[in-house]
Amino acid sequence: MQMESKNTTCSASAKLSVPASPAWYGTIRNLAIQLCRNCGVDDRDSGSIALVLDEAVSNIHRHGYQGSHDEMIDLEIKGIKATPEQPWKITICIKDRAMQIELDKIKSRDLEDVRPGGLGVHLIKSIMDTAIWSHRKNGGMQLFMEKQGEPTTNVADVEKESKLL
Amino acid sequence: MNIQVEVLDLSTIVTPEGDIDTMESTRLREALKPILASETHRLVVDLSGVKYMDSSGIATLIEALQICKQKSKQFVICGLQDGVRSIIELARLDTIFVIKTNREEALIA
Repeated sequence: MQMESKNTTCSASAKLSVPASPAWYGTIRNLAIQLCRNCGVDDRDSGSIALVLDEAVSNIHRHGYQGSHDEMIDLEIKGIKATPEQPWKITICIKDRAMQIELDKIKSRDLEDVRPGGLGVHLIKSIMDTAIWSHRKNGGMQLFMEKQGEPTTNVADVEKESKLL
Repeated sequence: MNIQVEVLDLSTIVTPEGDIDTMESTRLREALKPILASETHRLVVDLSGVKYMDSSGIATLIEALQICKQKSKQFVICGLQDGVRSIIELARLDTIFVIKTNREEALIA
């Protein structure tokens, strides 16, 4: 895994390249949860954002790389801390080198059809405010996502939470 | 993830502890297989020890529910923590599963 991270008083970001393997999903989730909490995101939303990352990476492994563990996934997570003036904001960009899928084929399944599988895209679109899949110029896919919270009225709570980490 | 299996009369309680993600859902599926093939009348999955579950965990529960329906067994989940309840609600499965607060309630469902 390659990783670099930055953390200032107003924002945090992390970039990492990991093998497309379920063995790394826990690491990705934990990183996302810690970065989110550090930006004042509550436990419920932090967990949801970690779930979105898990689903996105899992879809790349299963569908894009067809189960291969030898390929890499690049992730960039950026967070803006909540303040009285601005809500927290988490931005995620995931890039792969997998085969390109027709963009109109990436859709949620009908939830009335109760069956195992196919929930990942629905969860991603339900949880995030924005989720945009696109083709990369030199091959592979990119998924850009954003989620924003409500403005906080108590900045002390945010500071206290970040010091606990 | 640790998975405990308890047989109580005609009910079987399965209690996984830990995160249920792509890797661990396979283990849960394997643990449920012999129970689904057994004579048990009611299968309870106690999720009180599970803080995190992804869509592969949900898929495992849906599979178990469908097999139980085919075999006229009762399938109940209980002890949902906030994160797990949230994903079940997002997938709109809260009306499909029988969900109880704890195992005591699940055993009389």
